[in-house]
Amino acid sequence: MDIVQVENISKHFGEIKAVDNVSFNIEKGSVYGLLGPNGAGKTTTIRMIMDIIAPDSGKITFTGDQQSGDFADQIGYLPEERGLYRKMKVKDVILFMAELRGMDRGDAFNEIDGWLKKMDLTEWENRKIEELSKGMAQKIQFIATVIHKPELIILDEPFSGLDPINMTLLKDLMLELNTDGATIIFSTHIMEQAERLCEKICLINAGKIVLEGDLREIKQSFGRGSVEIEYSGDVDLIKNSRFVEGCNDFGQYVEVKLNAPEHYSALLQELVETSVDITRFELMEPTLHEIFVQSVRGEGGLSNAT
Amino acid sequence: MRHKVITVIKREYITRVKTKGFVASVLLMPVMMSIVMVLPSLMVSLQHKSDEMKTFVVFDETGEIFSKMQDALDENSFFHHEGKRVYQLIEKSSDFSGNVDTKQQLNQQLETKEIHGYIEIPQDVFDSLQVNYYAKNITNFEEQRAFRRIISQIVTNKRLEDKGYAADEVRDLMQRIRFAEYAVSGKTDTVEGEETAMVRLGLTYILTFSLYLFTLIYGASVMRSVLEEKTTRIVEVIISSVKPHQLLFGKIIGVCLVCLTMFLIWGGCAVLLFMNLNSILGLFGVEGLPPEFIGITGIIKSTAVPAFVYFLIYFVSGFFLFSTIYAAAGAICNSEEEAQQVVTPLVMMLILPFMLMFGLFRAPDATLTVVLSHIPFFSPLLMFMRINVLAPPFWEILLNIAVMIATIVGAIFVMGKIYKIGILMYGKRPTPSELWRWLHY
Repeated sequence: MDIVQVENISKHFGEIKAVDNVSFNIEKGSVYGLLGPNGAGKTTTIRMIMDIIAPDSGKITFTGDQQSGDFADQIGYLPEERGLYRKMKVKDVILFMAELRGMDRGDAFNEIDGWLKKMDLTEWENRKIEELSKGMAQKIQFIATVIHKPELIILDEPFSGLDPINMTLLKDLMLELNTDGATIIFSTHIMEQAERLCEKICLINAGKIVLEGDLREIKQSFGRGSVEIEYSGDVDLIKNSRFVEGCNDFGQYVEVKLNAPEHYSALLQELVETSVDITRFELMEPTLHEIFVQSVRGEGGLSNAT
Repeated sequence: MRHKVITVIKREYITRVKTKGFVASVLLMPVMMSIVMVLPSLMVSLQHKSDEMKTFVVFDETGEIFSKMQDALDENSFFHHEGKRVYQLIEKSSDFSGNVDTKQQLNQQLETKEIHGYIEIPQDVFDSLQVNYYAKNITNFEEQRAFRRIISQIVTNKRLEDKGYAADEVRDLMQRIRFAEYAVSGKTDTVEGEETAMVRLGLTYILTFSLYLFTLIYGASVMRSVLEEKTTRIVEVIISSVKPHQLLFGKIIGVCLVCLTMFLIWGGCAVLLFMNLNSILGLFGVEGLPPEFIGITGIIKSTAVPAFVYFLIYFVSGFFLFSTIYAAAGAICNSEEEAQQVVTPLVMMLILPFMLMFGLFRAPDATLTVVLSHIPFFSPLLMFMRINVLAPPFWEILLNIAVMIATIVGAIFVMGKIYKIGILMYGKRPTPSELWRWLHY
């Protein structure tokens, strides 16, 4: 079942087409990656999902568990640029955000301690936000985003500026929430993170969808049929194989381009029968990063992909 | 949805009230006000209440005024401190006019503070009525006035007697009339004396000043709050729960309540003070009020309550008008410095009537005053001032309040649109023509 259905939404700002006819469905309980370079239209898309701005055309439908009341109460949103009320105390900020999402103040009060403990911030609960370090404030904001147990959690670049320990902590918490049933929209331009976390992705560039669907299927369709072989022996035996189209010798290993992706086992069999001693034989999948660069360039206009 | 607006109001209110700054201003404001009102006269009284002996040299060329001056000084309380005379006169009968040496010598004594001043009474004073007063400090008006009055009286008495009149009789005949003033408003006439007018003026001044000050301070506070939410992007999270205009309203109501809380605390304290004035004075060892003050407290009681009610009406309406614009200004800017520039014209709209008020006080029913007081941005200060000083017809007040409400609704509509778009716009501040386009979204 889909929790969010985005149908043909478009948004203009003056002359600029920020989002152009974008559609996708997000399956309930999944981790969905919304990817694209800076300025691609990710934030605008999220803002439309959040009902902060209205699309010029198209529509967005939610199917939450609780049909009554505000769906906004079922969403947790962590905007890309962080910030909390600097003069407020940690506890008060979290309570305020929870109440805004329709959570009972008493319930929120009971939840806070557990969360602060998880984040290792218990002794900071009565400090003001301005006294916290950037990383601590970011963790507090994460608590404020998810304390009301939303069905849909939208995280815009949640790991930016975090050290590896806190990054792992937040990632684990995110996956924990996902295991407990929350659907997560994860927006980022860092492909390695998306590759590890997302089941489905949507790649946006210049307001348009470039790729959308299951990450594994996308990777397979981008499979370029290359193999890396570490060996000792005569490299010509590899070069002259009838399954090999091209070969790139790196000294320690060769990168081999097959003439058809399915020929890798045939090549392996052939090499085993020769005098070449193989220590590694690896079928290379394209990384999401490569797919990203390739598709965005292919679309003819990559401004500043990282 | 409604309880979320209350959440917003509550946050705005509590984060402001639970600060040391709020407590400090609740306590300090009355102190500062009293200092501003009392300080000048306090300074003067402190000055001549010292028991330091002040010496004045008198050149009495007539030879008959000096001894009468001594007698007059003995009887005048101004020249005494705790029953002891603190002014001492030294007679120099030598010819003063044109004697440069004497003058130089005296000036030197003035410089070394050996003497405080010298007074020259010429031979022909009964015809020329000219007396010369020399001192380092000639802005101590009370001192000069006291000397002038004494010498003047001596001279007048002498002139009257020379013409064959009895000075006491003449003085009795010359008594001034009592001039009772009545402020007519509607059907009731209120007795007004000079004290009433002063109390009225003082009260109006304090209240108008508060109107001006708090609209300025807390309007800017609304603006900063909008800016904080915008620059930290909290606003994006909030407006997915409450609509932008609800957030705007919640904010303004919350801050307005902060001001009202402060006013009610002060108002309540003032009421308590007046109710228990006698026992409070008792604490300082004063038995009851002097009779001339009983009248004044009555006046305060009768004028303060309506004044306070109008104050609240005009504060709330003025605050809503100004803070909506403040909020919109905050929404289109990205930093406080930038916003300060944008609101400068708005601040002018607040300062201008405050400056004008001092002149318009004197002519509260002049056409210019009436016209200005009906300009919505000026109304909170000028109309409020007029109501207190002159009591314009009730329909005029009602009309004015209606116009204010209409203006506020208009401002909320226009500024609300700018606010709604501005809080999600980053980067360059929009130009006026872009703002005009926003209004048509």
